Amino acid sequence: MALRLSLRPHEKIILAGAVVRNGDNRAEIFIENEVPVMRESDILSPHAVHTPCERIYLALQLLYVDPARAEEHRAAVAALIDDVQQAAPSCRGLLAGIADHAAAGRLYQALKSARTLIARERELMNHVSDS
Amino acid sequence: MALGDITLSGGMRNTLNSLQLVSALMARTQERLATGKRVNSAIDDPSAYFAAQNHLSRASDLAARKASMGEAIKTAEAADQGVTGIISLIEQAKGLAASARSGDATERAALAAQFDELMNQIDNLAGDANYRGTNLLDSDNLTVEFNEDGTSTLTITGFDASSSGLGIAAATGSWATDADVDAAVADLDAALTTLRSESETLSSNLGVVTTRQEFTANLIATLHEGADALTLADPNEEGANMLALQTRQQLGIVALSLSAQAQQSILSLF
Repeated sequence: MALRLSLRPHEKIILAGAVVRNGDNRAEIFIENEVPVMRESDILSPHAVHTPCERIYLALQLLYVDPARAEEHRAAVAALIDDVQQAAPSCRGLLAGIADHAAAGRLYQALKSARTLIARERELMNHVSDS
Repeated sequence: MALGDITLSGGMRNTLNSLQLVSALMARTQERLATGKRVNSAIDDPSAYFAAQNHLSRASDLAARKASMGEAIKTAEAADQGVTGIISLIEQAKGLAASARSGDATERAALAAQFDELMNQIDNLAGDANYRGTNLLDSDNLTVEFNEDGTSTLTITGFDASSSGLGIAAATGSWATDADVDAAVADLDAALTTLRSESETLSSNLGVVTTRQEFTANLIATLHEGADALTLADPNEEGANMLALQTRQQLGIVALSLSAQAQQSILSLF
């Protein structure tokens, strides 16, 4: 089944390795085959990446949109996950889920879990800045 | 409607709905707990993990003991209620004896027959005062185990609370003479003394078991807290670790090459 996307004016998406920008009007597009798709709202800009879990998200994004260098990105994901696991063992469950999804090629699910991870990271870091 | 069909009334449906809500809530809580642990397996931190496991298994052993203490309390309460009932029957019997003194021979014989019937009822009551098969009013003993290996115990000794066990003889000579009635009254008074002293012992034992039950409940809570302290995540510590990691990564090869690749990729257009 085709994937239906409705785009707001000027919204950018990544579609099979291309960055596509919508014009002045709302648009509806159908993607007939299975290719990597990311909406602007799901994309974390490389400039906005600061924390360890945001780096995991960035590495997963690269793995998703840049399959040509998948091996390097995969190694980066593994190394970053390992770092966080050492620092915050309570995130182990989430991290294992992300690693599983990534290894099985379910990158969209991996990205989704990574968003939960970023929220959890924010919670942990708030504990420190509050006190 | 076929026999196998099940109809749910409105009330049952409501209950079912709220049960489903509760189970959804529990699943969410468990998910949080699942991610909130610092030590999840023996590999993470063997000594903390096994210490916590010890605490938890002791807590669950004690929880079983606590449940059986609750049962013991109920058994003793059943016996105590039986004693109260028997005391009131004996007082009725004393009333019969008192009326017999002023009655004629026919009345005395009738009262004597009633007295024997009351004694029967005492036997029935004493026989029925069992709880889960243990009847402290039928000379059964009840051993309550307080700790997990069963080395600290209390035995509640039962006694025979039937009319013969209490030493009450059947009415003699249809209570024709005052001496017959006096003999019955003396038996009844002796039985009352026995019952009161047994009842005191029973309630003192009941107090001991109740105290141990509370103590066990507190101990279980303490063990759970101890296990949690060993394995639960310390958010402050983890937050500090994450901040430290953030700083360390800024200079690390992985993070640097990651941002370089991101700049070369289409992500740089966002």
